[in-house]
Amino acid sequence: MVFFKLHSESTLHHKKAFVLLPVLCVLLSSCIKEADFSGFIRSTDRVEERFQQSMAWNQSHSYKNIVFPSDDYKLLITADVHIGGPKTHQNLLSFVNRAKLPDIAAAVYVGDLATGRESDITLFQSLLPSDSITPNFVMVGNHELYFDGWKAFYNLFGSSTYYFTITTPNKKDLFICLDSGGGTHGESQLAWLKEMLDKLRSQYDRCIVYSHSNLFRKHHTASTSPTMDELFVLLDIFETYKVDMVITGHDHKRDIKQLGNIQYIVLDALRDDAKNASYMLLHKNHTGLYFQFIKP
Amino acid sequence: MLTGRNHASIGQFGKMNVLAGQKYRDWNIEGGLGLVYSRTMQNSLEAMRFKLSRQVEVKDINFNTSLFYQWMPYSENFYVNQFGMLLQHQHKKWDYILGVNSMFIQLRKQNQTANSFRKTLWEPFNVLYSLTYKQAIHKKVDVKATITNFDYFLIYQETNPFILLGGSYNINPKQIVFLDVAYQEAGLLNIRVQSFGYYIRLGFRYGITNK
Repeated sequence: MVFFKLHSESTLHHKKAFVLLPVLCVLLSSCIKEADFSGFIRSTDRVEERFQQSMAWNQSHSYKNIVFPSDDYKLLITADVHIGGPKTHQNLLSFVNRAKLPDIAAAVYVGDLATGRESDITLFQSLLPSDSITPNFVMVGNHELYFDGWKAFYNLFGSSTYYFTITTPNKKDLFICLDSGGGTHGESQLAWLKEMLDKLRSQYDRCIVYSHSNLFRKHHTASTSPTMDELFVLLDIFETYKVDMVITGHDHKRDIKQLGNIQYIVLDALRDDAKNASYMLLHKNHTGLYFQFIKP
Repeated sequence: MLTGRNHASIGQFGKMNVLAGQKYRDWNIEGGLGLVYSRTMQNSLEAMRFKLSRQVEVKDINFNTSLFYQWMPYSENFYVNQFGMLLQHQHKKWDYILGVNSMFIQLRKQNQTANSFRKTLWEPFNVLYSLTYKQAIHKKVDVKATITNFDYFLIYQETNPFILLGGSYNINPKQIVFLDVAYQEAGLLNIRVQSFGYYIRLGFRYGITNK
């Protein structure tokens, strides 16, 4: 009897293994395709080096100012497109088509745009609207750092730590883009953020900060957020300088939190196999900032 | 006494922690105070913490259960309240702790304007864990290695573990000096590990009674 029970349990385990093994293989092959596991042991191009390179780029390429003919304008914002992961990229094409319309002042891409492989980053860049139609603002996520991807990113886009401004007939707004692909902004970038806000914030009406890694953890996924020490420093900077909105990605699932007057927004993923795929339409007019999420 | 440096401290920081506890039968009550000097922290009071613990026995296995509350007057902009519970079990050379905590980040009154309709940001749930291996290397000297996401006044997200190596020397049954070194990483689960920081702690524990 005992033998029979053991035997039947063993058969059941075999059956489970038979079903689970292919599922695990598919998951693992998908992970291997998109993730660079060498980063568990060592990482190339760490945040301090990337920041220094971004600053070197900024010195030779001035910060962009977009002059928009109306105080009423829109931005399109997305993250986690993961070109090279799913076989198709229809959602990005839908985003790009919307971005080309004349009411859009700029398109912002908050990291994890491709697998990190040079061919995928190049493909991503080739799909973007021309800067003369819609200016594009791109920053790295963790995936752009895989497979030595930072070098390809830097060659194609340059800096991942910079700001841009939008000037309308009556107002000027400030947009700051940060590099948190490695799960931390790093000491120098935090100091730069504080310095920029100290120098510029008072000259601008609205201020929005973009960074890939989500600050708060609603969904308890495995993705890393900046450590609690860093989170508190960031919250303090955002509150001191009256930032209006902080927009992140990374978690692949939308989350909207508010502390005081600051909204902390996590974007949905835009990758083609994401069930909840959406991008954000941010609308600025004389009464304030408004946003909605659009399914591609 | 603690000193260290990390990406968020923007320079070296120094801390002094004082903790006192009182045992009564299976119960233990503990209070602690942390002082800090750091370029990024305006308050010299880092945090205050209270912890109530009780030894329980379930099916001949001993557990230490505890509830804690921590208040952190972070800056002129906000302060942080944390509540949590821990379950600890020691078995031979291993020490296991599993728990949860909840965090409330609260704006200070002077930062609350008519428009700021959310004064509190709540992170409802975070898993706390600690796994320690201890080894006596001399009759008076113990060493340990820990992987965890929390320490005396430090609570990290479950995705940000750090390593703590420590040693203690028993001067006599009442007095122990200890030295801990922590190494913190960022981006482990982003699969982009890199150093985040470290701290070194030199401590002294004094037991008023031998119990």
